[in-house]
Amino acid sequence: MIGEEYRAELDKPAGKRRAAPVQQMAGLLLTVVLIWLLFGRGATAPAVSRPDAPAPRIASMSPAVTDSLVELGLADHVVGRSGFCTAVDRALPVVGDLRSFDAERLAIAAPDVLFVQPPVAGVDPSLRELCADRGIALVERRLDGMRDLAALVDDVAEVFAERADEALRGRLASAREVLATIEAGVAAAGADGSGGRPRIAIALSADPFLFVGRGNYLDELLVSSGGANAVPRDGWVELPVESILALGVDRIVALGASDEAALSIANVIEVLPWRGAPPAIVGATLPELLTPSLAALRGRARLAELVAGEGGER
Amino acid sequence: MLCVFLAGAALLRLAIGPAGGDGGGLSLGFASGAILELRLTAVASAALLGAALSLSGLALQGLLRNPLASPFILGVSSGAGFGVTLALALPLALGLPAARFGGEVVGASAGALAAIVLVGWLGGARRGGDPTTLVLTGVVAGAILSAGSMLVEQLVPFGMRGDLLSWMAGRLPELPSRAAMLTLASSVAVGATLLAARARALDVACLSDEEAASSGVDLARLRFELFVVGGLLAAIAVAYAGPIGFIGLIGPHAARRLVGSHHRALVPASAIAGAALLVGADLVRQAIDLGTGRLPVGVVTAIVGGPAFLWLLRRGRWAS
Amino acid sequence: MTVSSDGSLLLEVDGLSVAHGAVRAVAGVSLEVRRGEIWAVVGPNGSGKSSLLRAIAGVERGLVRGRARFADPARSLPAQRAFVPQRADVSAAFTARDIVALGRYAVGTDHAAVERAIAEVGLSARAHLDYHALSGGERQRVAIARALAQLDAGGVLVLDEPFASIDPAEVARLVGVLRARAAKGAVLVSLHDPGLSRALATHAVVLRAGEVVAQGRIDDALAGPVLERAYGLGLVEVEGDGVKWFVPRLDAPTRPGGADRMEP
Repeated sequence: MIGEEYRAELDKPAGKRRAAPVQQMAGLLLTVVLIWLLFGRGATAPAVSRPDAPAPRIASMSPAVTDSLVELGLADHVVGRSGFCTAVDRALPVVGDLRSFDAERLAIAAPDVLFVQPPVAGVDPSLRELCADRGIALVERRLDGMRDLAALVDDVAEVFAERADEALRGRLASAREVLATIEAGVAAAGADGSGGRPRIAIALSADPFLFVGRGNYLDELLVSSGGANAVPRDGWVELPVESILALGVDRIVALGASDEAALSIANVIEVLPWRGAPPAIVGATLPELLTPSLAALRGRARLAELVAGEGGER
Repeated sequence: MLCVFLAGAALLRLAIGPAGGDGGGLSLGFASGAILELRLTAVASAALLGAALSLSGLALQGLLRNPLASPFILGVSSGAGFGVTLALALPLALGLPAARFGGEVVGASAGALAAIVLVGWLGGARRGGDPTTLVLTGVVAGAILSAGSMLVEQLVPFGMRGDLLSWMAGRLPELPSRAAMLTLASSVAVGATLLAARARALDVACLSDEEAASSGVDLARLRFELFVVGGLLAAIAVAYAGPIGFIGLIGPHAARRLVGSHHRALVPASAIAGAALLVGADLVRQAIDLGTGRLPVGVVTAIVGGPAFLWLLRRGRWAS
Repeated sequence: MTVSSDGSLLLEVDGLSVAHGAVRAVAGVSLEVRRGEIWAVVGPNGSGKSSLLRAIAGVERGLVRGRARFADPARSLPAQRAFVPQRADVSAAFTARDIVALGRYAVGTDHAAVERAIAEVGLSARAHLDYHALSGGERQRVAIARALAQLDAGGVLVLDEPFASIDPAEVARLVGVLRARAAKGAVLVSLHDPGLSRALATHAVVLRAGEVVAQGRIDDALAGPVLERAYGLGLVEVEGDGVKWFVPRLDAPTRPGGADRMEP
């Protein structure tokens, strides 16, 4: 081997040069420590896991589930959230989201129940394992339509069981009632067809043009409110301008989380090259409608007004 | 060598330290064995992945005689991405039950391997091919495969696209299965051993091709070996963690600055440097809580690694 | 000057041809190189000098036919021949000594041989420096020392255009190094300059478009008419201080036929 004999020779001239990398490495270490001192500690401080939260302790990795829990008056029970959950205290530790999870924060938050919306490929088996190890009940609930929300209500009822107080029982019952009404409305619409109903399209974005298609919670809300969805395809549908012009709509609802968002979508759609008079275009600021949660049920009455052509800001 | 080892060990310890302060002032009760076990697993998986990426970078830098080569120029990450996309979309298209979580790893490995074989075959790696051809083949194959992924993404239901996108960010497996750890550990061990066994040939290959051949190195064989070792290590790392950038580039460079260019020292030093870097990156994301969840580790390596690389480039001590 | 040849055969080249794709670079060259000889390979640009030398050294990547046989099939090839390319290239931060030591890759570590090779090219005082800190001439010497380190006593040193970009002092030093090597083994070297070839070599091969125009002892092979045929240009022979040199007749019109391309 060459190395052994030459190491000694190399060391002599290189000695000076060699000091530099050591310093650099030390510098790098120092930088990491500094970054941690500057940002890490400060930012870590508010991450409070609540030892005093009432049982059952709940963590949710899905904003829609978290919104639903808050809607049911269970915000106090939430001890962990996803980075997208804004309905609960932002100081709560982020334990994961759709795809990734934080084993350590989850362990520290020590929930009794963990709600996840599983990705198509299913829940990470190592998350399943961790929950089993630490005695966390894992509830997988993908929220697409009213049936899923009803199942979520059942999930919550099961989690609380005997521990549910009067108020919670009341809220669960009224949520079930509303959901049943909506499902009945959808079924009725399916039976008597869309004849005579106003043709509505719900726009969610103007760049690109994203519309509410069939078979999701917004479609169900729309149909149960007496409208017919003018968009003929499933899911969330990106439409080219020509297709929008050919929809044959009576009314377009531009749904936004803020007045500016709703108005800007409405404004863009209004100036499309409509043949003749453009359809009625209304902007609606209904952030609660933007996630498939129980909170969306609150926006139902407002949506029904818009479908019926009452109110709405241009 | 010792310096790197020390730095690596220090980082390991640090990785365990600040996370203890995590969870705010009420972490007193959490120094339990279970939490420590979680951290050890995280550190071990980060270290193994870092070592794999760094060794892969070292092998490919030797193969291409270019210190700027990285594991991803062979189209490995695009291939893996395409594999994941197909693994998720195909069962859906064929009306089969959706792929389970493990299906993604299978898809990623298959895609990465297919990309390597394809690029190696087209780029003439077996004939000890010309580095430029190999790089260009890798870049073009990567572009084609990325386009393929996007095509498939257009065909899957809207809700699934998020799954695919989040895969491309690069992440550390939080609680890797025992099988994953064993696969990673054994491939790092085998890769490091193979590279170490060819350390002197790798040194000679730093000369011009003609000089290396004159000295008695079978360049075609050496390059084929480097291609296989570098490609496989990258494929395995990508399959488990998605594309994590810069470790394969910075790891060998940090090692070169510390122990010089002799591969006998460079091979272990690169592995240790890569491990230390990825553990360090994991530490950074562990320590910084922006209130929106931890940063994907790929973001940390790019944000920290990118400027570090530019700095190295400016002070560059290697040959052009 | 003439180094006496003891006659032992070190290298036998038999019908060696090189093709790059459809282009034939060297057509059927045969040579016998004996101990003590310095062979100059002379010819215009593109005449196949480099391809011939690479093929002899076994580092040519094109299609090679025919063969180059070194004296002792029992000894390892790297000990019997070493190649110094026109352009050396080092893609790592090695010292000069590191690089010379790499020459011993296939023939076994030998610290003394490395130091001897470094001393032979006069770099002992600067061998600890980073290769990229050295001058062009010094880098050239490092490459030659690497080749010398790998050769044993009967080894043949093959150099492609070593005089291409170095100053006269380096030329003089290099000539000394090559003669010292020839005293132990033999040297094959390609050269642009017929004058320098005659001053340095004992034998020559003159190539034009891949084919041998003349070969043999230096004074016969490098005669004026041969060179005119090879280069398609008149050359004036000048003599002074015991040295003969060739100077091109720049004012004369060039004759066709000395082109770089192969004639069918």
